[in-house]
Amino acid sequence: MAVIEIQDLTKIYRTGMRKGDIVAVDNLNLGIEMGEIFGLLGPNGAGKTTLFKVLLNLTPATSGDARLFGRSPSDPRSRLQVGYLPENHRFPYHLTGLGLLELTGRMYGMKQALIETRAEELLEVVGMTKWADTKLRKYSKGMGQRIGLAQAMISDPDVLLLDEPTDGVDPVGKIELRKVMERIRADGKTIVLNSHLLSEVESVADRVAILSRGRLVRVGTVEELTSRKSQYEIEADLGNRLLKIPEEIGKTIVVTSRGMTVELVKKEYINDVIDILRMKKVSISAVKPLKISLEQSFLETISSASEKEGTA
Amino acid sequence: MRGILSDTIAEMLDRKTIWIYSGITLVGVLVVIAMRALEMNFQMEGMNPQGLEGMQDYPRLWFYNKFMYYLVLLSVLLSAGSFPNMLTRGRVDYYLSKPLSRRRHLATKTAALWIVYGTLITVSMLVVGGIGGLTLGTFDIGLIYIILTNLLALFIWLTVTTLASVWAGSAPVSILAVFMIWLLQQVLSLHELFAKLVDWPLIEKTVTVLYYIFPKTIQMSDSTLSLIMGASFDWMPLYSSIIFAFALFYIAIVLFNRKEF
Repeated sequence: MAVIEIQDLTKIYRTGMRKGDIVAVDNLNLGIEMGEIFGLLGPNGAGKTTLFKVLLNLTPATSGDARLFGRSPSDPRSRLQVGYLPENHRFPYHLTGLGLLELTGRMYGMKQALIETRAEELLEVVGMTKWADTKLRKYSKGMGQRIGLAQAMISDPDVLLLDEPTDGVDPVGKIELRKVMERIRADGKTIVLNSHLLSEVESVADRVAILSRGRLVRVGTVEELTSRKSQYEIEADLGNRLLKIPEEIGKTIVVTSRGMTVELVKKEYINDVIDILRMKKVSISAVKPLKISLEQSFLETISSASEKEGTA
Repeated sequence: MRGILSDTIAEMLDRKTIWIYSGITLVGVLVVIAMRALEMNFQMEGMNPQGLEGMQDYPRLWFYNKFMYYLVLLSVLLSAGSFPNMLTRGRVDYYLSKPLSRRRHLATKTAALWIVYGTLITVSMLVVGGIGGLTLGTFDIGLIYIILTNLLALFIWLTVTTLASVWAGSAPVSILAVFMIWLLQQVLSLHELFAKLVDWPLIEKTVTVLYYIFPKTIQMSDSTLSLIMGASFDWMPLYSSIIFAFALFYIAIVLFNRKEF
């Protein structure tokens, strides 16, 4: 079931006659399913935060449709099951950490007893119990992010929109946050993660969308985005044998004594390559699709999108 | 409502506003004690200083009325930053991402400010009035009318700051808007005199129409004092001011609904 549905969404910021309009989101189509961690990637100005803002009715869409749980963002009920951690937030400084959680819980219409139980539990989860009664103005950036995550989770929402959640968080905190996200996913909830830290997204996300200048340039599972198209690494004892793969199947890219890397015309031809190797009595120890990091995939996608835009 | 109300209380306490009211209440108490002597002097000498009409018979109530009037203006100034503070970048995202409509946000915040600052001025007035009553040995029931009228005046001024905050998102602009309207109502209160002096029907009509449109908190305050003194109450300033406040509040809602953050 898609909890977030985006169809032909466009958001244009009118900045005045001289500067011209800014297209923040350009004809975007996207569906995010229940129970997945969805990573939103893109360079600055790609439209990731704007997408959150449209979903939360902070800014209206210029055209197209965005839906949360089947409801329009203009309907406050669409946000009942949504927790949000804004980027560069400035939570009310006059509140304490606990006060922020209480205020958030009340705005979700939660009962006081439930708020107290949830707040205690979440302060423990984000490691802020000790600082619960300290005013927010005294918090460091990392502490602010931790309490921000707790307020996003106070109502036990089905969808969490996290905009740069690890910004300013120390490495230990990042690992803890990853564990929290995995726990949330295990509960069948959805997280939409907007982060510049690609390694972080790679480690937790099920699916990733790459945005560039408001357009969706690629979407898929992390596996799909990080595996090289039809390239395989074959670990095998080749010895001094010189193996040639027929051109109609593919070509050999690298050959070492420990194995070879092949690029195939079609993914399915890997079986033919294995057959050839077996016929030559080569002992195969592993066959793995060649992988790249999400960062590399991201850079390639963005650069390819920029080239296309340049030629268009 | 409970959430926004407790947030507004926390903000007020954080700004140490309560100390300002404590200080002013203390000044009010000292004045009301001193007035006992002043009152006796007036009665003995038969004085009626110019500009202090009504003081001869009701000096204490006259003071309560003025004291409350300026407490309202002070409250408006002190609360003017609250709404812009909520709308600052990075904070407004937090508030508006919650499952509440913008109309409800605006209404609850205005109501919360009215409750919090209304409570402060009521308590302050009751302390001053209570001690005044103790020195006299009797409680002035007219104090209740003064409190009610000024609570209404506070609501009217809060709608001005709410609209200005939504439009400009700035506390100084909100304060300026209050000051401008306050000044304008002072000028417009002289509309009859203006009509006599200016022999230009268009200007005369414009001034008269503006007089009826804009709030009349000064006249409301004066009418309350007249009522306490036994004269009839002029309802027009009250009605027209309430209509003005609701019109402003409606515009604020429309603007807030259209605003992009």
